[in-house]
Amino acid sequence: MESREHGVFRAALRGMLTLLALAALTWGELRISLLTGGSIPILLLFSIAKAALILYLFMHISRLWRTH
Amino acid sequence: MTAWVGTVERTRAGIWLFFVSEVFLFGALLGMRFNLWGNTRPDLDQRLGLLVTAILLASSFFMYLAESAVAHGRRVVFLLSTLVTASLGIAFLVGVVGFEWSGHLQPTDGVYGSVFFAMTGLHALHVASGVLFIAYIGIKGLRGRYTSAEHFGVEACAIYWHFIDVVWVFLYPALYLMGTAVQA
Repeated sequence: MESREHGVFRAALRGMLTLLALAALTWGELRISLLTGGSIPILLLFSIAKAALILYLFMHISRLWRTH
Repeated sequence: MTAWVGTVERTRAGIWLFFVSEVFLFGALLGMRFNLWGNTRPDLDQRLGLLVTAILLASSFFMYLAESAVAHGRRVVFLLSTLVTASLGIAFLVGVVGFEWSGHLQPTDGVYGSVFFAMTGLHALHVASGVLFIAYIGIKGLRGRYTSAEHFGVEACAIYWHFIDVVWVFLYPALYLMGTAVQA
C-alpha cells in the first residue's frame, strides 16, 4: 500500500512526462507543417499520436472495465 | 455501496456513449473543413494557436493531478489543481474568443470565416461548460463532499476535460497547420 504522498508524486511525475511528450509532439507538428507545406497525412499521424497519449495516460480508459 | 457502484457503472457507460455522439458531431465539423477548405487554410496567428494549444494541454495535466489527488485523499492538492485547471481553461477562452476572434478573419468571410467560427465556437462552448463543471466539483470538494473512495463527479469531469483536449488536438492542425495558407 503506497503512501498518499508517494501516490500523488508518482501521478504527478507520470503526468509531467506525458505533458513533455505532448509538448515535443506539438512543437514537431508545427515545424513539420512548415517544412512540408501542411501535409495532411503527416499532421493526421501527429494528431493521432497526441490523442493516444492523452487517452492512455490521462483518461484512465481502464476504469471503464474496472471491477469493484 | 453496491447500489452506488451500480449507479456509477451505468453513469460511466452513459458518459462514454455521450462521447461517441460528440465524436460524430466534431467528426462532421472536421469533414466540413476538409470538404470546403481542401488543401488550404486561412492565414491565422500561428503563435496564438500554439499558445492556446499549450495552455489546453497543460490544463489536462492539472486535471489529471486533481483526480489523482482526490483519489489519494490530498484535498489541498485537489483544490489547487482544480483552480489551476479552471484558470487555464479561462485563459484558453480568452486566447480564442478574445484575441483570435478579433483578428482579420470574420464570420462573414466566406467558407473560411464560416468554418473557422463554427469549429472554434462549438469547441469554446464545450470549454466554457467544462470550466463550469470544474467550478462545480471545486465547490463540492471545498465542502468536503468527495472521499478517496467515492469521487465519481471528479472522474467524470476529468474525462470530459480530457475529451475537450483530444478534440482540440485534431482541431488545431486542421485549422492552423494543414494545407497552404491563403488570405480569406
